Amino acid sequence: MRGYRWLTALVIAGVACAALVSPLVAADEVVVYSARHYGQEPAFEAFTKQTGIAVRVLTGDAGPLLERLKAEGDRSPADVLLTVDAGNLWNAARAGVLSPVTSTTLASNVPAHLRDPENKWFGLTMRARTIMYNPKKVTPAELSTYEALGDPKWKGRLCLRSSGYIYNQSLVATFIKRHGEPRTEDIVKGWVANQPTIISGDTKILEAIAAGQCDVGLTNSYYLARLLAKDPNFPVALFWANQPATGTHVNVSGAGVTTHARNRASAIRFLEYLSSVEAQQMFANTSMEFPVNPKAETHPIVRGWGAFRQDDINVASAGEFQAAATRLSDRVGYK
Amino acid sequence: MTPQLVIAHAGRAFGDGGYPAVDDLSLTVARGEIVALVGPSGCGKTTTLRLVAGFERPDAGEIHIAGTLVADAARAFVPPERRHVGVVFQDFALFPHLTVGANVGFGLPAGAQRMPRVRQMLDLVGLADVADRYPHQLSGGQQQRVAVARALAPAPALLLFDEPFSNLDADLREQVRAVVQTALRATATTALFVTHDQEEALELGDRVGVMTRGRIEQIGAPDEVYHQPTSRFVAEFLGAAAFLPGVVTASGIATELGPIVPRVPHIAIGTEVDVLVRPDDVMITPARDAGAVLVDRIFRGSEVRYTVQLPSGLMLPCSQPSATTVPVGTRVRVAIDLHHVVAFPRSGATLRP
Amino acid sequence: MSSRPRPRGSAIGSATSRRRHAGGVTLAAGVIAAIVALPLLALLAAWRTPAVEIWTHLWRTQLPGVVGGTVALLLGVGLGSIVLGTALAWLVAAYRFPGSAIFEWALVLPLALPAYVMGFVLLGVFEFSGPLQSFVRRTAGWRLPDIRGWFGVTLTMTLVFYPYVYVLARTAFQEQAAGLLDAARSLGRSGPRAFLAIAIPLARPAIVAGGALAMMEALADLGTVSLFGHRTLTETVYRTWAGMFDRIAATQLASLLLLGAFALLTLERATRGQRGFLNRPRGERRLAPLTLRGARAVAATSACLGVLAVAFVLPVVQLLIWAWRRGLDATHAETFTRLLAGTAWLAGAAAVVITCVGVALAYARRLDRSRLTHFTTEFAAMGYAVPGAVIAVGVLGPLTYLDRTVAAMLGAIGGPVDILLTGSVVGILFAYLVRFLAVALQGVDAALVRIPRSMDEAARSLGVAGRRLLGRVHLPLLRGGIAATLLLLWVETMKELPATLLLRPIGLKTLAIEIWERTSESMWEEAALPALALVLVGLVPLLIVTRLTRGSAT
Repeated sequence: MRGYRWLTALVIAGVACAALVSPLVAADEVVVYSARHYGQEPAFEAFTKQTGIAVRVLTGDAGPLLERLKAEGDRSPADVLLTVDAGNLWNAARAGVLSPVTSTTLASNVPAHLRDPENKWFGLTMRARTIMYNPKKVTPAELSTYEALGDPKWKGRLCLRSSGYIYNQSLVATFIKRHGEPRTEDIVKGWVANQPTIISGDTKILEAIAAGQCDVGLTNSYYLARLLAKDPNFPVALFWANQPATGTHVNVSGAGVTTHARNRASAIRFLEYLSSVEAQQMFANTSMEFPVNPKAETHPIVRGWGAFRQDDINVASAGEFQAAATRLSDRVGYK
Repeated sequence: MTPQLVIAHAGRAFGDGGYPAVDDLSLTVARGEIVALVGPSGCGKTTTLRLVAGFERPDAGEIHIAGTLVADAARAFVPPERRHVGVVFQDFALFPHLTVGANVGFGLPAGAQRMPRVRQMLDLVGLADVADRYPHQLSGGQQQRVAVARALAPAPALLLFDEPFSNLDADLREQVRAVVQTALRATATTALFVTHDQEEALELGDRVGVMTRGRIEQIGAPDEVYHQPTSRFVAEFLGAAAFLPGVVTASGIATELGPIVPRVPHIAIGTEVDVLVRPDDVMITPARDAGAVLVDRIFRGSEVRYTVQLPSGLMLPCSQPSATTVPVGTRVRVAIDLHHVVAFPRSGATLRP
Repeated sequence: MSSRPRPRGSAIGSATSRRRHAGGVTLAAGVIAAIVALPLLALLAAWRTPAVEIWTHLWRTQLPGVVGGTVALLLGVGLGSIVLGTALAWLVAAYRFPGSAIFEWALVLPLALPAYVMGFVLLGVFEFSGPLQSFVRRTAGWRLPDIRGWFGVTLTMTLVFYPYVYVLARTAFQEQAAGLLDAARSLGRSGPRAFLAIAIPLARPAIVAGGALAMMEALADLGTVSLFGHRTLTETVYRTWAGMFDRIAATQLASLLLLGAFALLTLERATRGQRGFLNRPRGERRLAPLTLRGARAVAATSACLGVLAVAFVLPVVQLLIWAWRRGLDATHAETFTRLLAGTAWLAGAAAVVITCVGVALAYARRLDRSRLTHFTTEFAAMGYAVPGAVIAVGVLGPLTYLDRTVAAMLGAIGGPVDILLTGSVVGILFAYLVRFLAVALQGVDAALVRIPRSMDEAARSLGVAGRRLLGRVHLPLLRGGIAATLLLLWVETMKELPATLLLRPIGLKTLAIEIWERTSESMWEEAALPALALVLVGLVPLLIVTRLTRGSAT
């Protein structure tokens, strides 16, 4: 036993030292747990410059980040949870880690269908998931809705993300809210029947379309925008799906104030700033997403696609029906 | 004087209900004595050694070293590091990361006394000039001598040798044996050897114990055990042995080769016995009309070993000086010249010691 | 000759009670192993609330396919790495050919690449829209099959994990008593026949051990399988967690991974047990290689070159190209050095902690050969096959509990209540410990096994036991093995992603995280530079390890 005494002593000493090294939360700062890892730095820096409040960020994957927040409970240093996909936001709210925020600024800056009905979270950027096509092989006249991609004429010409991809799940979830499960099942079955090539990245889908591996695909809008920014002649075009009908599916990245935030006031200021035109413009320009604030302008490339009708169903339904969407995809064999 | 080692009815078995490796074994070794335990593989000699060293615990019996109880079947147990018992291993077990000098001094407390003692030990085994080399730079014989020096350095109460020379070449063995024996005598160290080589045991031990199946079959001075074995097993294990059938009579033992006198007093007249015959007890004289014939001949350097076939068909070994050799096929007259008459009843009972 | 020497300080020690020594060691080992096993036990604890619904759904829709996919992956990677690793090891150990001295250590290099980096490079190069296929399409008009799926991911993992088998097999081949193979050659069985008949059976424990390591890595991998779209158990765990928001069911699924790990570890140990006959006395002749000439030499060199080209040169060159296209500027340099320093420091600390625990447990196993100690240490090592994120979540539980208790105690005596273990380095080091203990155990065990018991007994007979035995005999002899383990662990922890992501202190970023942030936004080119840095930093310890293991046979 003797030999292990010094080992135990070492471990205890180590724990003590390490614990002391851990972050002690200071005043005048906002601690953000963020599942976004691109495009937000300019906005954060601008906030600090304007208000003098420091922003400390911990990035991570949406799921694990939520787990950490839940585990830390009331001892968590996080003031704000910033995450992508409305489903994740909905889940965070349901897990009780977000608290309602009453702010007229936020209410006016963020349209109603892009924020939580209970005000626990607010969308900050919007992304559309729509049809991308190869203009050399497909004309816009042949395209109409997401559902129509199940038409047999697209057999072998379709590229999709895997069913496990969060934005796909949200898309299917909103279908379920709109059309109910049986109809949604038919839609997805249609896609599957066309033997889509499953590709593991939106950019890769766009590259596949450009190379001719498939003719149509479903991706988020900003990926194409970024590719066009690098190469204006990139041979893929965007088509706004479901225009005359329900409108194109949109999703958000958003944030909420945590239940046990220590710097609550600063956190609310932070969110309000992010929803302001200034910050929204920064998001739009760096990451090429759509701002949620209707007064902010989109990036020129994005503007070039023209105005489009959004699906105005509350994005929270993406979360509500996500589990069902996943199960449905499994059932019909959508990989 | 208290004996240096006392093993009293020790027992050790492996596995549940497995066979006992050591079975009711008792042994006493006096201070300064060298005892050799010899036996075939599996006889339990190594286990006995390990019990004395403390690497195994006895299931039964007791072990005392220099008058102190070191192990018994109940709770008492002194771990090896506190027994002051040195061990020399078959694979030498020298520490490869230490020099010879550091190896030898390993068991000594640090201080002014260490270096002189190390030098003294190395002198004893004739390796005074290799103290700064590493084990892998030495030959097998040298390594074993270092191992002996290392074990001797702390002046142990008892020194145990586990088949120490079986990893050495034959000619090296004699040399190293001699060195070891001298070292032991010079330091008056009590030693217990374990070996399967009966020649080695006979040469080294003040007493030789023959073991089989976990017990000591017979223990005594080398010539006693060799010339007066108390059981067939001992007779056959030590040296070459042949058995000549005979019947006990009033005047001796009647055999195919004539009567053998004197008779063995404690066997009843009329019992059928086998008489122990060693190769050096058999004399042959070539004679054209004799009944026995030489059927084999092996040249062994200083001696020649013949196999003689008697008229009854019985084969006897015979060794003769090799200056003159007799060809195979020669008819010979056979005579037995026994200094000790050792006879075992045919029924297989062991003689009372 | 000599006067009677002074008797030793104390007389023969008095008899002590039977159980004391074995008990202390078992207890200590048990406690350490139990602590390490906590997160794994948490996996099993998830079964308390059976998630029947999810399980029925999974069973009906996916589980068979997913389990099949996992088995297919394991078999593919296992067989692939065993065949490739063993063949290369044999080439390098038994023959001399142009470049063989370089290949001997160079063939370990692919280990410096994280599997997901290799994955995205291979994908980038060989996929439909990549340069190779585009070229083929333009010139020959052929449409090559898609690299996605089982084939692509198996190929990737084989190329990255074969070094595990290679290193172990090569050492085994080189250390086999040359006499055996010479005897085979003299009996007319040379070359491949000697190889198959003698060398392989003797090296089998090492080969299986390497293969088991490769398979465990494959089992726990998430990034690479997602990249290639191959459904495995681990991927389903994440899908259930993230997609169905059901952590309980996901944890239950993850516990199935433990089963897989257990099977693999048992397989590895079972073959290891026969290794006793490999304990040959030191200083025996090592295998003397034959020189190859002519066509054979060319073939051998080409084979090695080919493997290295695809498994190392290609990815590095591609990363270089991407990094160059992206360009470098001043701000990058500063954050970069900080990243590098942070990564190296964290990995170094982890390596030290894990090695210490590994030494403690391996040593306990040597001292106390009871089944209980053996089992508890085995269980603690199973974290290797569990995905990092699952372990991280499992670590969260006990850590937060400890946090609350410590805070309560400190609060009671008026100290600072804010101390958070969870957000500190302790949590992440603990997760690394659980995840990588197997590497330390294997490494130290392998080194310990080469110290014969007679050496322990010789030392004890000279009065040196316990801690002094460890310090004066074992540690010096283990130095090489411990160093190799430290370096290997350094490389492994530097590459680790999911647990680091979850548990790291705010403000601590590693190269792996930087790569992840970029690739998850499909920004391959931006990821190239940190990926390159990771590979280069990982090369240094790898090369040192290869030098160490090469010379340690004598």
